[in-house]
Amino acid sequence: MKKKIVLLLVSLLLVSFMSTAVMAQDENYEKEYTYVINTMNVDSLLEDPRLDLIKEKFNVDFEFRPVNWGNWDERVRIWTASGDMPDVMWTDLQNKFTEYVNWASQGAYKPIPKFGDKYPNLQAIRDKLKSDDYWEINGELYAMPVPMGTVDWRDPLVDTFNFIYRVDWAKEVGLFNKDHEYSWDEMVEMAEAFIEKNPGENRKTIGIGGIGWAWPWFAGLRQTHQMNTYTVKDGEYVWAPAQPEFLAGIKETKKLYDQGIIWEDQPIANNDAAKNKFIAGELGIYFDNISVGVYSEIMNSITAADKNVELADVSPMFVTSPKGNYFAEELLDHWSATIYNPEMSDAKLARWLEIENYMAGKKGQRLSTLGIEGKDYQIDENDEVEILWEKDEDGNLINPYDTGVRFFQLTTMHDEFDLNNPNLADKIKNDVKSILRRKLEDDVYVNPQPYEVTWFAGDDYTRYNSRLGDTMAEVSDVIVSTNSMEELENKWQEYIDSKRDTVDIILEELNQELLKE
Amino acid sequence: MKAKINNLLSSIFEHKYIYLMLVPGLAFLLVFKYFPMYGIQLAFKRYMINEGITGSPWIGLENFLYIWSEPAFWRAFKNTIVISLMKLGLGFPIGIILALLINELKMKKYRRFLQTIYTFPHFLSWVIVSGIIFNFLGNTGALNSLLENLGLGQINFLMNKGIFRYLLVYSEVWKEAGWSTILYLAAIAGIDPTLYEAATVDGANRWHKIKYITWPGIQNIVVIMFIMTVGSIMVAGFNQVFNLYNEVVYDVGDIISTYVYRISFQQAPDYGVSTAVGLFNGVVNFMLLMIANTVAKKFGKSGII
Repeated sequence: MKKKIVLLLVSLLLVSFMSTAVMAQDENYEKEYTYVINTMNVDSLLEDPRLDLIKEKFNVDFEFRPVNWGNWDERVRIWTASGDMPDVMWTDLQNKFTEYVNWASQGAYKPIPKFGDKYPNLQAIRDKLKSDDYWEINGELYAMPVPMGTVDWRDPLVDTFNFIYRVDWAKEVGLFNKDHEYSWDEMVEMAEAFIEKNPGENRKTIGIGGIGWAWPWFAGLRQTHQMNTYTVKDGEYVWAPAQPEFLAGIKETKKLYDQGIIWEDQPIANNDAAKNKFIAGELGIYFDNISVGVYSEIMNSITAADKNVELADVSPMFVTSPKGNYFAEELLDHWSATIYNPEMSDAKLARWLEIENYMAGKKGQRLSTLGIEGKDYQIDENDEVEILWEKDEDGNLINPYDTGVRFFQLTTMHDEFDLNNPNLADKIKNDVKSILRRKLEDDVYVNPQPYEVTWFAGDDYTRYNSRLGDTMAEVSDVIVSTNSMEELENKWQEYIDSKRDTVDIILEELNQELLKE
Repeated sequence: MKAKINNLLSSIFEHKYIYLMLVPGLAFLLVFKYFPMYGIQLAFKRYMINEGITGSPWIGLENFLYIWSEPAFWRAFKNTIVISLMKLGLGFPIGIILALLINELKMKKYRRFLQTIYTFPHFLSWVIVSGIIFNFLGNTGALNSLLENLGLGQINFLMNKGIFRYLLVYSEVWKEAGWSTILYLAAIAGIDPTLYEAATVDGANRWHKIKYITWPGIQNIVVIMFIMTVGSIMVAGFNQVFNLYNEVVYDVGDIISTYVYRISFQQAPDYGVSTAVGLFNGVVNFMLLMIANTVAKKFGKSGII
């Protein structure tokens, strides 16, 4: 009997040691780490129970530095230059390769270790991404891009810049097309009709407006020149602003602005001013990056602001360019990236990468999009997800989380989930899908992403390209302040001539380095 | 020499509490104005973050040559001078005139009421004032609504290059004139009142008293304020311009500090270049200060140096 008891005790001890060893292997998180991270919507994030789950699971804590769209870039630059980087710095890397190379080469960023088998989900991201290799410097990666394009049928991956418009007003002025397809002139005619006939019954109805950062290129310039800033023409790189197509685009925008079709305050409006006008029923045609998030915000706000407006009264507007084609731009397969403080220890970075690896996996993706298992969703015996969110009086699911919280998009974007979000009306999801699908049709000219130039870090290019950063400001100036097309042409030519020396230096280097045989 | 030092030390010890009161102000000056001067060497270097300011390589005058060849820099330089001179010419006398007029009021309560009204805008930040200006002068603002209703059409105040500089000057006058009157009123309060009594006996009217008593009594303060204003000509008001300007008025409204802000924070930063611009700005400022001080002394007034 004694022997049996001893045997049982030893077996129990062995089992407990083994399970402890397994736990130690799976969750060797004895040391607590605190991560300083910059992000948006910090107030909502601090109340988010998903954050507590992460903290508990990985034995970590967080200190957040709030940023917003207006100061994000500036804060990142100041933190990097002053040596006050957060541990995990979320940054918008679009068109900032020279800065990235500059800082990374000077040791401002911590190199990211190879993922391999240790972080299989992160390795899978790198295997799928095309652009991450471009971010390597001498074989080391210093920024982890956040992948977009989780939707496989989006091939090629193109932008979602688009016009949306008031369908009810279009019907009222007698210019509605049921397939929402319009030529450029038809769009302009509709905008004029909105102003003249004032279906919104405002003191003054605006024809066309756009998100602030898209001025001055969103209504004429972009659709006319259809080029990248440095583009190959007749076998060599040229500077797009000096091309006749660019001037033609400026003139098109000026024509619309002088006729009062584009909102007169557009040049000085803040980012959301035109969107708010659209929501308030003062603007008929609005341009923006029509993602699910942006579109659902507009749709929900516009129907809440005016009970007479239904979802069917707003729709994407498919407008051909002044050239007669339908234009889109190839996107990069990522947006934003995380960069790491070089003072961070390897162990601390390893813990963070485990968090990212988890977030990139199935469970982490569900946490980001659906919430906490057992509370917000459950998996049935067929491995199907059942969402347990509360429903409103119409039976629609209510997302308990703030979708603006960026922390849960530090590893991947959720465009596939967004397009199928059960919280959103079908009309909203279908409209955004229609934009994406329309841009894949055969009649669309897709301007290719200039990978070579985007990731070019030549000395002259790095030193002098920033001198051309005032081009759009100059475009805005000539559109607003000139009194005739002749004056516009002269003023624009003056600007081009003033930049000739700088442009020639850059083009010489681009042609030498990128087009050499 | 030793005796002098001993005398100095014993004098300091005798008035130790007065010297102690100087300490916070001195500490502020040292920490925020003098110590950061070591960063001026960045104007002659290419900043490398891993080397820091001291270890970054020297490149001589390369940063200066870079900015001097940049048309946007000279545009900002010209705008800074023009806007500051406009503020000096149009705005500087307003504070003096206001102080002289307020001083002539007999009703004390009314004087204090006006002083409060005029001084209050000084405490508003330019963020708030620019919001007020946008609401009032914007294309859909109160003034344009009134003009439209009167059949006079709209005026694009905020994007009009001919108006923008005046907008800067007059909004600055509205905001700061009351604050500067405090100094002049204090100076006027220091004038011996028996002079006014004697003048009254001699048959002087109000204008004579202003011309022969009040104005000479505050001239020294006016000269000192003038020299200090000239010495800050190259500042031109970053907060104001940054909140009011837009791309369309860069030609007339972009000043050196807003130009430096853009090249430092809104595009790929080169801190050597932006330090070079700041140093150039400071040197020009100092030269103007010395010129104004010398001219004031030549006219028999006391300068500040």
